[in-house]
Amino acid sequence: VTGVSFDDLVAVATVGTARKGLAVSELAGPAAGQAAVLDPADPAAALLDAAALLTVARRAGLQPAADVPAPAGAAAANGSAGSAERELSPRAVRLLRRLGAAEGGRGAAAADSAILAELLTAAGRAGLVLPAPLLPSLLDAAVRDAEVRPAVGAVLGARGRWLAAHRAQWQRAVYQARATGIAAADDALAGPAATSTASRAEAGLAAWRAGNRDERRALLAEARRRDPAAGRELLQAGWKRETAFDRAALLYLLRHGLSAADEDFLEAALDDRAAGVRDEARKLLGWLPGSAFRQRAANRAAPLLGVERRGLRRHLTVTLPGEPDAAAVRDGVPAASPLPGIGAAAWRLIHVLAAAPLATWRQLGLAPDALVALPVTDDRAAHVHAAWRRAVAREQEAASPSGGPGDAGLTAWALALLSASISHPAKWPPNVWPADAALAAALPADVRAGRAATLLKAARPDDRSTAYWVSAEVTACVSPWPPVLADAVTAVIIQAASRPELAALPRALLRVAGSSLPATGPRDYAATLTQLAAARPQDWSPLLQTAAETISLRAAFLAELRTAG
Amino acid sequence: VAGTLRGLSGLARGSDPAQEQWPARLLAEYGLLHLLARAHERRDALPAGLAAVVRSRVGYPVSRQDVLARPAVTGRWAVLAVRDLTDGAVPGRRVWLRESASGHWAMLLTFAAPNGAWQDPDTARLRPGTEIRADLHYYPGQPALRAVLGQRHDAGSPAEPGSADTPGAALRERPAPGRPDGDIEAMLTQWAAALEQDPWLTTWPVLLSGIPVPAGGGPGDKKPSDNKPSDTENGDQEAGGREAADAEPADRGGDGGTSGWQLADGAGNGLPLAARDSLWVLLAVSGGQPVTVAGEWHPDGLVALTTWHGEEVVPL
Repeated sequence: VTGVSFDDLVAVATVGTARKGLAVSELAGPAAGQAAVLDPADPAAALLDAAALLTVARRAGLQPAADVPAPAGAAAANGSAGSAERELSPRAVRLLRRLGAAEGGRGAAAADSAILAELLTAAGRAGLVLPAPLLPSLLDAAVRDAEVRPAVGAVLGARGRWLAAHRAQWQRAVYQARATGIAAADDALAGPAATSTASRAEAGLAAWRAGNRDERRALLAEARRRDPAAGRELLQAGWKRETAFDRAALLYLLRHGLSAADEDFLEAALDDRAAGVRDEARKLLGWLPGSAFRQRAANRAAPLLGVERRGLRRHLTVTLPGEPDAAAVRDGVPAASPLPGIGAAAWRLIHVLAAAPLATWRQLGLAPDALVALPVTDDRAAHVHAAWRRAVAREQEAASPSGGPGDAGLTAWALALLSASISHPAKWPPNVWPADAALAAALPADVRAGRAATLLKAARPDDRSTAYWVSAEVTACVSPWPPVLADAVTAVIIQAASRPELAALPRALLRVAGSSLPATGPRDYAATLTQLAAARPQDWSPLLQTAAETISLRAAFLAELRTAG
Repeated sequence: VAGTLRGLSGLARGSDPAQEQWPARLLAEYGLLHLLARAHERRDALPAGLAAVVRSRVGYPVSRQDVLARPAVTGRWAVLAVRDLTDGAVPGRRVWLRESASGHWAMLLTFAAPNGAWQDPDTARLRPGTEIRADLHYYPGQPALRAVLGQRHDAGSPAEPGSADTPGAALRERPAPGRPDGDIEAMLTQWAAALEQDPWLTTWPVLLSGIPVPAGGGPGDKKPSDNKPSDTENGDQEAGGREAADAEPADRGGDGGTSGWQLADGAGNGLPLAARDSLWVLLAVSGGQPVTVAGEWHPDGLVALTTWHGEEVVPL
């Protein structure tokens, strides 16, 4: 016989003791022996006292949950016995924390993303991994910020990968870190994956069928990374059942591991019902070296440009393309122009020329710099240059879907177009006339930095609009800067130090100097900035000291890695 | 008392699904308040220790001087956990100390003064992972827990190694956490014994070794589960009702939630862990292996406050 339980008391209390009587002569559980203290003459007091008795009895008598299973994969978390991973030293962690504090945040993950990327990449090269307590905050940083993702991916270690598997958003960030290919530290990953490939594949297939959009995208990206053909077959198998939105979104992921083996599938997608899917397929086929799509684009464009000698000078002659036939429409040649300032034929010209691989123009017998310098007939120079700029932007994306420099031919084209002085109507949007920054992105890091240094030397520091785009180009250069750019930046700052007012350009440069001036190498930039602040104190000198301190902390971290290694 | 009542008024309003049982929580709290009121009426007839508990729970002021006049307990006190109480009307800080030889616990409490400083800066400055040699004076009441910091015997050695950048300085004070008091079963037995001395007790210090287990178990297998015990968390007397608020982050369940986690000991027993973002740090440090955890046990679950990564103390 069980007595009055707490739930009984709740039931009585909810309707009132007057409506529902309470006979509390017996109490349930460990409080059973205590019912005698309850006062039967005052039901309300008895109810409350019984509640107190039962509450304390339940708290005191709490039983632990039994047979709690241990978390899976604890062995994977601690690495195989052979691969002892070394953690960052406590001093290195403190330096990271101070860099985070310098950014006004708390903890190591608050540091500037360029700094985190630099220092964690260096730590990864030194074979070090993050200490366990730092893993959650840096995994969060990798979720927030694509720039630090590969660097974090390289210092996770077995423990970090095990931890990331517990949280979908972390797992996605780790997948993406690997998909960029920079996180080459995949060796350890082979361990746990190899042991249970079959069960993983099965679990993956189930998740592919039942998962939500994000999970399925992550799965396909990962499948493409492991085995591009298997990933494509996974997509192909259920292709007809996907919605138009999902077809386009998933097709997008074939950019990982794109190869000639994907061509037939993509070519078929050109006939898809959904315009979004057709656009995506054209984009990928346009990236695929040697694809029939690119050959068709080259064939269509080649007759439109020629080089003719008129008098003493050579000219670039332009022929407008005719109405597109069905095959041209299938390949994306537009019938009408979306911009009021450009006629349908001119728009088609831009599109057809832009779709052609840049190598098409070798047939004209001139190098890129000579070609872009030619005068163009019929005032078509802006149209032709717009098309070439778009081609450079596309080839750059194709060379490296995550952004990054292209090959030597592409570099020549980008440099030639950047130095050409062709004016274009101001109202052309970037998808018609890609900005200089988009072309500069195709340059190798050192060439881009050299170009930025040249721009800096030519810039007037107090011209606000110049300051804006020059500093944007400097900031876009890979950090830490090579000496040529670092010295040019320092020169601008030194020049500014004689003035009490800080002009726009040096101010913008000082904001990134601390994270991007090299912390190692022949020249000690921290010392240069510190001396500058001491020699010519100005109202804005604290900016110099902050930058100098950041450089010193980075240098100390990198030195710590060397002593630890 | 006032703090508890403030916490209760929020109970019935709460829209959180976990608070659907608010009538039960409310009844439990009313029952305990009624018990306190009745005990207060009869306080002269109670044993001295219990009478002291009743006076302190009702809120009779005890001056710092009176506490300092009580016998000193001298020892090497390791700072095992620090908890900032941010939800109350006045921000507070609770510091859990454990005597290295005897294993006795003590809790120091200080609040922010109106000028933003701490009323007791020496207490507020204490950091987990440090150790002080000092006299503590316990407040009247049982079990002896709350105390004030009296005479220091360590020449005021800096208790803040965190800011030092030289490795030597940081190593100066880093005592081991001490041996856990036992497994979960033993801890719950101690908790029951403490409730016998103070039935209104809702905060109890814990030093355990265990494995944090996320809801649903292993990686990639997360099911939203809500196996929190139905018992109520009544804010303790100093900071009523605040636990409920910080134990429920917005992202309950699903991706990133930490509700339904447990701490499992070697005997296979599990204690519910109160949901907090920092449980991810605890999981990272554990790597699926047992770790030492210092924290506060509440009727709702264990609030993990400190763990140790090798020699290094990790505040959670």
